[in-house]
Amino acid sequence: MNNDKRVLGRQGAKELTPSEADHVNGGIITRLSVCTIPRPGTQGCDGDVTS
Amino acid sequence: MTVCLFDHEPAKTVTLANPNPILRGRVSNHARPPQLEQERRNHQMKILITAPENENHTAPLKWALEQAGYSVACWAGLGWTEDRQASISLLADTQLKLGRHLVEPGDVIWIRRPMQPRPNPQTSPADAKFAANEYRSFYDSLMYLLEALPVRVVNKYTASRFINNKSVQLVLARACGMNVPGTLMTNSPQAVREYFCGNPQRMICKTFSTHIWEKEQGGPIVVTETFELSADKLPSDEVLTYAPAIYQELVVKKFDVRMVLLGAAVYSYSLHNPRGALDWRGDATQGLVRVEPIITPPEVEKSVLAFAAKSGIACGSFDFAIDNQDRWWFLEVNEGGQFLWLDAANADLHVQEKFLAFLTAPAGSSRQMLEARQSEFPSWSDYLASPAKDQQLPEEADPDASFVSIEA
Repeated sequence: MNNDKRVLGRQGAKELTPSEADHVNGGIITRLSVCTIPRPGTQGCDGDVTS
Repeated sequence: MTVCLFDHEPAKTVTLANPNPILRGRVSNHARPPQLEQERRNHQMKILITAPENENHTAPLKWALEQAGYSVACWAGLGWTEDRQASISLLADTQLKLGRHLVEPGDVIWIRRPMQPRPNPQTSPADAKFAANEYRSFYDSLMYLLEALPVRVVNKYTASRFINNKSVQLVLARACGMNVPGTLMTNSPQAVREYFCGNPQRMICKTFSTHIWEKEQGGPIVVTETFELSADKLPSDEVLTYAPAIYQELVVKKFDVRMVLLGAAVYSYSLHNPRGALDWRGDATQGLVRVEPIITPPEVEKSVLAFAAKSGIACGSFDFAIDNQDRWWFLEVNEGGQFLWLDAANADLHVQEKFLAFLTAPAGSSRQMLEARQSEFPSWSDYLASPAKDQQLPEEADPDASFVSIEA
């Protein structure tokens, strides 16, 4: 992957550990979790808290 | 037989008999005020949840409502299949049908997490954009129409659309008297540099929305997260124009608070993260965050209720950072936020019951009225111990999800 021209948000993003990634399946978190990724065009996600 | 929505409101009765042994004792031990009882008798309702039945809050809450004797229906959102079709009939009577469910006077519509409109994939590619636009327009017509019908909508679509903007949230929060960190939202490199150079505070960067990158199909997953950023770490001006972002003063915090707004009631929960991460969510997902009830300062509660009135939301999940001077800093609100994880973290909180008492109560019910009713409903722990938990199907991945990118 060419990392040139990547957005700042990607540069600050976090790579999930295997156990964290276990909560994600194809972009939809499949278990009860703190942050369910929103379905596009619908509700927002409460997965991006600030400091 | 069809039921008129506007022209007549058929008299209804509600069945309150609770067939479930989990609840039978509780209800008898907690007599409801006569006024509430009468309101319920006069007000047969069904709860219509706009989300797939297996959505992670919908499944347990639908089960709990049904255990308490309520009629519940789910509509996953507009789509081409029969269960996702919808109709607005403006004929002699006015009707709205969502999937197989007729919206009737007195119903409660919980706009949870409907799936995005899904046109028929067999549509000619030459017409795909047109069809997608028509589906989107029709979907908006459905959602906005709900507010014109004699039903209770939680949250109203207008309020949801309005408040799901971080700029609106921060401005309203500040106007309502809450502490709000200094913030810049921009795609202007000059504005970013001026903000960082003129500000001695530690700064963070956050995104407007969550995004997932898969490094390769099925490979490691990378998720947007709030991160600290300093002037010397700013990327080139070119990169700053690739995507707008939110730059905000970092609040050095003692702990976080997740607050749940339920009509006139506000419940706050402190979140103690032993790792002290900027964002507690990852650790909370892993069960590493301790969750305890905490008293909401009166001035904060007053501000939050003012915020709710201004924004039009009746419920939502608020995030606050509490600094070393015990000041509460508003960070954001998600009107469709998650809350059952609080019960999963601390079984004594009973957020599930509180929410269901709110959802089934008349709009404007006081905190006392809601709390008088919460024992009608089974708890999150009851759900976990029920066969329904094991029957819950996993949520399906959305192949068209716009928040997922594959890098390789």
